[in-house]
Amino acid sequence: MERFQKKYNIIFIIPALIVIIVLLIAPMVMGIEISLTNLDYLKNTDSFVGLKNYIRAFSDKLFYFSVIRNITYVIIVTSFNFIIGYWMAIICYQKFRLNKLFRFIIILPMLLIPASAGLLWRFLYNYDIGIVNKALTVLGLGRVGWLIDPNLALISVIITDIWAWTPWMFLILLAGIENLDKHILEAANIDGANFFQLNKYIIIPVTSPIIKIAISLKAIETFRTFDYVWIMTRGGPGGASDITSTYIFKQATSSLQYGYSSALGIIVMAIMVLLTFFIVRKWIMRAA
Amino acid sequence: MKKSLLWFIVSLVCVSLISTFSFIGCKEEATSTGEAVEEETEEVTEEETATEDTSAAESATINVSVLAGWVTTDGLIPAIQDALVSEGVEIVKFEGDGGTLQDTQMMAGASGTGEFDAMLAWEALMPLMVQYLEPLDDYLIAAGIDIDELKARFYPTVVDQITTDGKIYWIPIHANSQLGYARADLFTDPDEQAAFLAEYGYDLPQPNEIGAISFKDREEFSDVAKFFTRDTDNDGETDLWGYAPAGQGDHGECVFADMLDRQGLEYFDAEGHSLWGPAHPENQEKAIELLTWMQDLVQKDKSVSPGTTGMQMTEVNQLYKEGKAAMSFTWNVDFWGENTKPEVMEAWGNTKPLSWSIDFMNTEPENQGFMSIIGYGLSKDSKNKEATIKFLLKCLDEELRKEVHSTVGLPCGSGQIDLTNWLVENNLSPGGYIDAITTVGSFWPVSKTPWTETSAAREVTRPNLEKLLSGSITPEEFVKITGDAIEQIMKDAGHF
Repeated sequence: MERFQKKYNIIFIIPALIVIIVLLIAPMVMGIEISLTNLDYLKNTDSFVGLKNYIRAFSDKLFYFSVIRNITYVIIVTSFNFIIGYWMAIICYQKFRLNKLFRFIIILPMLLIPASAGLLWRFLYNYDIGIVNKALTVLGLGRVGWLIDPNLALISVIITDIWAWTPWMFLILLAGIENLDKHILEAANIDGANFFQLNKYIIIPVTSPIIKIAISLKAIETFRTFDYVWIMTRGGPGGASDITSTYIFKQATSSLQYGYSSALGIIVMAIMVLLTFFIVRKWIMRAA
Repeated sequence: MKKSLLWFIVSLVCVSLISTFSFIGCKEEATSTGEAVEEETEEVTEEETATEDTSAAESATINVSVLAGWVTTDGLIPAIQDALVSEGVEIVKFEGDGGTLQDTQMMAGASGTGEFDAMLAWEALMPLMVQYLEPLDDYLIAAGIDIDELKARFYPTVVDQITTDGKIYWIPIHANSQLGYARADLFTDPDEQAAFLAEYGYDLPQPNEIGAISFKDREEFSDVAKFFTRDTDNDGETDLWGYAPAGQGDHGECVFADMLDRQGLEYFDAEGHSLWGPAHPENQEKAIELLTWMQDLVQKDKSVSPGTTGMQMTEVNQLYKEGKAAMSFTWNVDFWGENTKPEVMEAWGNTKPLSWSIDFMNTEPENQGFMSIIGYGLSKDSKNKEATIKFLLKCLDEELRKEVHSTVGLPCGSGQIDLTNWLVENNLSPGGYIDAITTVGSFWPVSKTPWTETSAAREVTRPNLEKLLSGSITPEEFVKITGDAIEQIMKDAGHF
């Protein structure tokens, strides 16, 4: 029986393998191939240059800054997604009237496609006609250059991302919290545990596997952000909000340097693979 | 186990079927897919036989690229399709954004697949794609068109752009120029006029019979912009900006490039050197002077909102629609239809916007600004050339254009002189459009010579322009940074 099962295991795996090879391995190999050339539609060049593009990438200051901004973006967004999502899940775990309506309102931002959300916030943040500045003016605080101040542009995009994807974290964490054994919580209550002690010593430790998985997945997903930055600022003003995805995109589409942009993409992919390996091995597998 | 295997096979088949039908469903068909595909596959690959097969009696399907969500192709293509039904031509649209169309068409052209019959390009892309096209002269002559008469129908600079080595490669469907709008209620108000005269000692510029305002020079323009900048509700914040240009990204750079052209400067000289870079120090003062003026409007005069660095044409128009800008400048012609709707005109006293051209910026009469132009060309690998020519001829049809302008509301003309005059006379385009379009000399956004490095050069300018307008860098720094960078781009490209 076991031998029979082992034989049929291969048949089940083959279709998935085909999909992975065609949709994942093949494009990756082509990308690596292009990254080793000087493919450039402006100069009409396409010859093998070895690791020249990678050497150039490692001395590209703008690329470094975009990576640093990207990492900062991921840390801030994921942290706030978790903090806000967790507390919203705790609130929604309680029984109160209109609980279901509250949950529905919380998940609404997640229903907007990123491009629409980006456009919406672009207008909300508009210096002259945006509602945010209108509200600030009414409160006597004056207008803020949300998307035009180089020091604020990335933060403004981060706020949008947090607004859009905290509901996702909320749903995951709520599912985890709702699966807690209620007897443990009741026992803790009887023993006199207060609200914060309940969270610190029971809820968080017991749901930590789910928390780790949620944060890991969110971090990996956030690293690939493109839509919000592109729609809201195009990486500006003056490149102040350029992250790796927008920077690589510009190299390809504006500068038409496909060889170099491929190399940048491979480097970012390598960073992601290392990050994912670490997260999966250290966090998710242990959590499982 | 056997049950699991059976379910697995069933689910695999279902997924495959769903994927197949989804893929087929993605392609938009004018009529039933079966017949069109069958007829197309029956045509052999040899050109002569393909041309013979697509006679008027048989139907032919042509693949036409269109810009997704663009009002011009959204309105024009269905009208052309209706007109070509009787001639047996079916249009299959390939929709994409600018980047997708650029990549897909260029790859199709380079590999000779013949995927597109009619290729769409804008001014920056046209020179890059000419190598994949067939000249149209012989086809036009065969259709009974006199080439010289055809060229005479278009503005001379349009003809320059659509021809290469004297041969016509493109049929333009859209010719746009940046234009200013001005609030008629402010400019024509007697109290405003009296106040301006009292403050500045000369009359506030007034519109002519077609609603176009002419400014004498930059100083007059700056005075008017300062005059109209106000805090209308006394809350300490400016609510009415005298002047609102696009300042972000591509649209911001277009404002700069247009003004630059009118100073007699382009991005490149004839050899490809940056015209304000290390090879041309004599031009740097002129560039700095222009940039200083642009920066002063925001930082010193404060007649332009600092929010300009976050605005592209849509936001600029929104600012204008809400009555918060006395004058706006961007690709305003696109918004004429919207801004002349009664419900939109409420913000400025129920009057149509006045319009103004930027020709007052010309330092010499022969200097000219630039235009955006979009057109279709015939792919040299097309397997349906005869049908594609019919499509291109319909693009030239002025009566069809007039009908679409009247019903769908296409924003701009196609560079045809008579059509442009008709549009203005019939209130389908602003009066200033004629001034704007007749004072442009370069379609190529940055120079008359179609350098393929234009996009890369503009990519250098865009972020630095945002920094300049926000006061982060000085005009001298802008000239140094961008001049050096553009010079390097051209050097790396092997031009010198």
